[in-house]
Amino acid sequence: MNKLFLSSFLFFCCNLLFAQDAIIQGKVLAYGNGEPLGNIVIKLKNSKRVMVTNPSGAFSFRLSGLDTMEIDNMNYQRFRITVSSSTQVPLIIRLIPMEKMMDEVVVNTGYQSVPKERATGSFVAINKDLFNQQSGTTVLDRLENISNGLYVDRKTNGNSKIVIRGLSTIQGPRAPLIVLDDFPYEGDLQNIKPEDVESISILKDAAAASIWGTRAGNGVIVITTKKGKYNQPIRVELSSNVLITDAPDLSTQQTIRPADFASVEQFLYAKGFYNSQLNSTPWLAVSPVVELLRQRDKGIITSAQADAAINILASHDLKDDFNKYVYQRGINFQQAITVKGGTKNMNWNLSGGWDKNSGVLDNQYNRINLRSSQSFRLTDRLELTTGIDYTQSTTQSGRLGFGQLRPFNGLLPAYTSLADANGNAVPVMYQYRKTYTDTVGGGVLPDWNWYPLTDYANTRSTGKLQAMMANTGLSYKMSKTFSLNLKYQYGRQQNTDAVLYSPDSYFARNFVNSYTVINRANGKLTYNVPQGGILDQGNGTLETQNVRGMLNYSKSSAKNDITAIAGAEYRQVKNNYSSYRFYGYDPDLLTYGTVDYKTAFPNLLTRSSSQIPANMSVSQTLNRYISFFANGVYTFKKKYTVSASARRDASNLFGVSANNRWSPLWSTGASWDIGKETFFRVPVSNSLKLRVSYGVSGNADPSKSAVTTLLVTGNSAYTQTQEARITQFKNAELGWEKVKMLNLGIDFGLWNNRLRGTVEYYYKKGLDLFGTQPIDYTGLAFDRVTKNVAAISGHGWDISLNSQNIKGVLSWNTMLNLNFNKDRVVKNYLVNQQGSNYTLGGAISAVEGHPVFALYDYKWAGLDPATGDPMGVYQGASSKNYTAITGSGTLIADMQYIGPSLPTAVISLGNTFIWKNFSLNVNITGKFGAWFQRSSVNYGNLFNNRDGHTDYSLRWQQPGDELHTTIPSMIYPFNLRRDNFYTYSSVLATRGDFIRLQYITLGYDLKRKQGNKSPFESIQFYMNANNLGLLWRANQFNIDPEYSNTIPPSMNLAIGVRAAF
Amino acid sequence: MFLLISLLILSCKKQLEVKPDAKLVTPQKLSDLQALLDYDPYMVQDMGMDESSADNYYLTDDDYDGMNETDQRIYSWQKDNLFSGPNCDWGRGYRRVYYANTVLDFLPQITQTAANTTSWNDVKGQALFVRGTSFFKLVNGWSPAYDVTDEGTGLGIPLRLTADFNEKSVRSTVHQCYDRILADLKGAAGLLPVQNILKTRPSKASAWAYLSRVFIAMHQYENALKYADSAILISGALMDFNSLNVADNFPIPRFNVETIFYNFSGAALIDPYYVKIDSVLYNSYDNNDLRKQVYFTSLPNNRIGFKGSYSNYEGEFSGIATDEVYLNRAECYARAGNMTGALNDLNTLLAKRYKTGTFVPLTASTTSAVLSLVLQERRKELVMRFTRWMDIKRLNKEGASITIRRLVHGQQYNLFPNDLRYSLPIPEDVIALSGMQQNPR
Repeated sequence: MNKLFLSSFLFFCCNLLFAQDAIIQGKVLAYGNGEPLGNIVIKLKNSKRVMVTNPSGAFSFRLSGLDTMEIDNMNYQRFRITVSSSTQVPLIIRLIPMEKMMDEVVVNTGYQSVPKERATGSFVAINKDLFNQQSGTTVLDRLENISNGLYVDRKTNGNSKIVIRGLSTIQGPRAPLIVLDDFPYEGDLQNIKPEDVESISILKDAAAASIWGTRAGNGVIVITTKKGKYNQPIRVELSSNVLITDAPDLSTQQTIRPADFASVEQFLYAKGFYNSQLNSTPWLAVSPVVELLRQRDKGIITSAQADAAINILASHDLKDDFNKYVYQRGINFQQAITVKGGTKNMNWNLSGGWDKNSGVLDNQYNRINLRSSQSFRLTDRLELTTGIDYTQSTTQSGRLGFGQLRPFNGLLPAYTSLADANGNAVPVMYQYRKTYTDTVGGGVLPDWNWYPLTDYANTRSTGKLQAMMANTGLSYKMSKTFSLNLKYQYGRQQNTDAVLYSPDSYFARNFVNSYTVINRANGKLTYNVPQGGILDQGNGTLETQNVRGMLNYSKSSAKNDITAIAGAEYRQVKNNYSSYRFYGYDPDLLTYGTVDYKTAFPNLLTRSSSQIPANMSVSQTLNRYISFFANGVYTFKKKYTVSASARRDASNLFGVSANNRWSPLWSTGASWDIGKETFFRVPVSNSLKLRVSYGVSGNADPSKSAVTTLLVTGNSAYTQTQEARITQFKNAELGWEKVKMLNLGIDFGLWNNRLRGTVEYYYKKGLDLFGTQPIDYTGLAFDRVTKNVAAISGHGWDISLNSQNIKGVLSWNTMLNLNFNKDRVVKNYLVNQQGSNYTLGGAISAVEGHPVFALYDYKWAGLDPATGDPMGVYQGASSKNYTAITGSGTLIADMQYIGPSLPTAVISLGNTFIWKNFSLNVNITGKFGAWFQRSSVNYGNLFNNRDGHTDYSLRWQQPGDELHTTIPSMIYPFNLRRDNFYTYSSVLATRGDFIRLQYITLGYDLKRKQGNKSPFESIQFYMNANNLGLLWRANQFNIDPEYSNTIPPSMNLAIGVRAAF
Repeated sequence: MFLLISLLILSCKKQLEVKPDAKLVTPQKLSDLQALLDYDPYMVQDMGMDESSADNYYLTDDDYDGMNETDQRIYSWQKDNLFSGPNCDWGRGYRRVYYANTVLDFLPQITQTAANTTSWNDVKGQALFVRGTSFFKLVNGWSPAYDVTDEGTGLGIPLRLTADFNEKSVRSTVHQCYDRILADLKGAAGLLPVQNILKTRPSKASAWAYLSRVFIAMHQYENALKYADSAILISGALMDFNSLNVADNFPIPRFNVETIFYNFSGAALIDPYYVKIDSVLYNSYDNNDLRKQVYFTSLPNNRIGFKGSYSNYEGEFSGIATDEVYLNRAECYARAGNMTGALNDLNTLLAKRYKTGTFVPLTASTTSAVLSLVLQERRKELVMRFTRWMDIKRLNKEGASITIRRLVHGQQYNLFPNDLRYSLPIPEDVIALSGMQQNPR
């Protein structure tokens, strides 16, 4: 609902005050083109008179005293003015056309704009106002909580987080196609500035999306940016906000308590767990507690000293250090300006934006964004549009967060201190033991300690990105009905990513020291890796070119409306990437050293030899697509609509025979606007429309090529000559995946549109999906080949309701999205049936009859009351044969199917309250139906990796405990398979349902009133709080199901202002 | 508009013929084929099933518990489910064969010219060598020992001679397998250069050394002698163990002078980290025998570990080296009754193994005594060298009555002479897909 609130007309004052009565005469004109408007009803509120303008727009009436003129026409914005005898005549009234009426939402497919009224397919239109209720740097983040049928998956390892209407594929790409200003967008989505977005359309079904052919199978998100308009006075829009993010709440992390961990280490030490490491590889790092115990055993310190030191250690919590030294408050600043205007023959739009983000880990992101677009009416028939868009951004890594900051293997002990009492960084266990690194060089080697608190500043990853996009288009009106469009777009994005390990970084010091050779006789050092820093750098360019030619036909009469397009396009996407490493790098002088990559050098501590890694790579990919498309819509009597579209794609990705097959992707749809039928006389109901569509879209996978044979992987580590691997053999049949979708929809309005809604049901089938066919690997270096053989089906409901609950001074609107989706694998060959391959939940399981992502667990038979051992089921009976249960003894059919890993129901509920100038939006989201495996204690990880869980303190310890705990006893030595069994047993399966208070936005809007001298046309202050926490969750373990393996995002608060003048 | 469309259609074919990924190459040049033969993960990293099944080592119960189920089954000589999937040893062996066949299939498309003939022959020789040695390792693992008298019944392995994966896998006889191995290796020997750029690429001596090993397995000692002779002629240098630093973690350097062809196996069961050596074998070394310190290391709990790999830190050496060729020749001499020749070879080798000044040359007065000395030294020299499984199989054919044993958690497993389990089970998934006959176990 873009509203232009002010008419701009001139208002002159004069001092003619001699008469009580006056003749008020004037004209009503259309704003913009100045066309006179006849037949417009004018009301005089005080004298309760009504009149109509004549065909030339003129009116005239006699006035006594004050009165209020009002024009309330459905095609124009309401106009009101107080008139008196002193009003200057003639009074020129310019009416502003309604830009978009409530029901006249326009959706953009990337090829054409279609009034939603005439659409047969399933579209979601998202306007600026709804989009701007949230803050943030990126566009797609904001879509999650407001778009019907779209959700963000944070649980599985699928290749796209955004999913529209559930899955359509198993192994193929599942990302929806992103279209930016009519062409597919391949660049970094962070380059798009939210302030530039005019509207977003989401194309959900085949009738909406299949015009995009082999890219449309996962749905399409069409982003349209702001443009200038003809006949528009200069308008400036400013926006500025600051967004503050809290440091994360580490108490959500269920890691073992420090004292518990220290006692585990003492237990393990007493058992001799560390003996083999201490004896055979004494140079490897050990934890502080183990070091103390070792010193005690060697008689360096007394038993009492060791205990005292351990007690001090155990009283410290690593999380406190993270809160104190690592995390900070994140602050994002965001500024944007847009200037636009238009004359009769030209319009233009200029915008700029500046973002500066500083994250909770001191990570930085800066972005500068400039856009300009122009349109010129060269003649009555010919229009030229041009645009150019430039983005520059830089990123810089910050500190490592809790769980990321880790030594060479495993985690830091829970009691680790990162700093001393004065806050200075202290050395912490990494790969080698301090007593060795301190002495190995006899004091001549550089410091070999790891200082995690400060090392981040010496190990910086930086990214620089420059992106440019230029487009030009010609549109020629050949006749009243035909027009021709030509468009060309060129995009280029350049990335430079670098990791600089400065000479002081642990990485560089460790590298240099490890490869150093000490001459025992004279103590001289030979540095095989030159001293200094190490620089890893990568350069990537992405170049896209698009050309499109399109013929449009459009004819409208009382009975028949026809629009049709047909055209062709050519598209090329070129990716280049190269990376390399410099040793002995000096960031100030830009000098570097030379290295012998061929010889294997011994490690100073371990004595095992290895070559110095070269870290070089070069790659180039080039994808080409050629497509033909057509789309047509015919409406009869404004009530009955049919539509059809077809598209054919060829690409160098597909096999020869797939390219040669003439099998277009197509769709067809129909709708019936019952509300417009004369017989439709249902009380309370004012509109009703039925829609049906069916069609086929595709899903192409750039990573699967039909022509591959060899891949040069680099150089042999031995001969240093090129080595190559056979990656694929000629696979001429390989093509794109297909998605067939049926969509049924009802659009309705009740109580004079106080309640409007859409209910849609869809059924889809993913066919010819990439699947695996097993093959005897005696004859090939592979045991399987990829073919278009698998299939899945999915169905669901998309319900969207908008209600105006209260109208008046206080208004209250509600927006409710309800989405239900289920997917089921119809056909898929499982390469390995062993149950242990399906325990991950977040990985594709794709078992026939179940969802693509599903959680399977070992069956749980309780704890052994005598020992606290977990018991599973093997050959139908409870068993502790963990080897069999977690090995070949459990096939997928023996596993317990818990449920889907992705939600089957997603809701979002937005309530908007408006009172005077204030507005309040409250958004609540929920996801239901998903399951996840919660983590618990794993003794192998606890012993080997110091990775413990709070469940440790709740474990079975003595008979009887099994009555109130399901956490197995600690045994020594640990049994890897026992741990695996418990970790993936059904006792840890957890329901993932939750309801979240997503955001609250408070706004204060000021609009310039008639005659007000404020320089601003409108100004809006707002406050937006995001990630406000869970309102409800199905699990009782205090786990946020969406972030069960990570740290949940912390609350953020944005304060900002938008102004236009 | 229509001009545009027709232009597009015309240029369509050409535009779409471009490679989507520049790194994708179709084998067209000799260097492409050489690159396949230099693919380290396949060509240098070897299978490990034979050494893993043999008795050079044992595992502690703890280490056994840490192994994969399939490795545990290999270790305890179970009847089935020892291998599955393309990364099992069967798959490793046959993907070498597939690469070799791919090279051999494409080679005829590259014209041989005066300029490229050396490298053309080299590539072909390497491919034949890879295929021949792979077949030999596979037949040694999955088929019974070569039986001189039985030509028709021993179940061999499938001899895949082209890269066409649509061909069905069919088992040949053991004799057919050995015929093919000899043909490939002899073909390779004729084409390979005397020296190659590194020991990971085969040379003439590599082919000859392997031929001597293959003929030994076939009990054809005259031929074995001939090829051992040739190999020693160009690659007869021996390492003096006195020059090694016994304190090193892995005292024997990689690519040392004895190495004729370099391969190693990273199989988990025989990882130097786990391997423990039987004390009887350890105690059989004289205290002046440097191998006792170079090969072995003392571990806690009176265990003996192994550090004597010719591949240094890199798994276990599975290529071929001069010391073995000397032992092959000594055995051939002994079996032919040439006692002096045999003892000469033995003493040449052992002189380099003992502390300087302590070695007393071996003597013996009967052929059988010499042979048993040779076999005894073979046992002591070639520890973890991928010859033991073959030796047990061939020697038991002659009535050596070697029984090998494993002890796992107190349970003893025995493998008696000529047990059916000396032919490993073909992966069950391969049997299911190909319909080949499984080895009776």
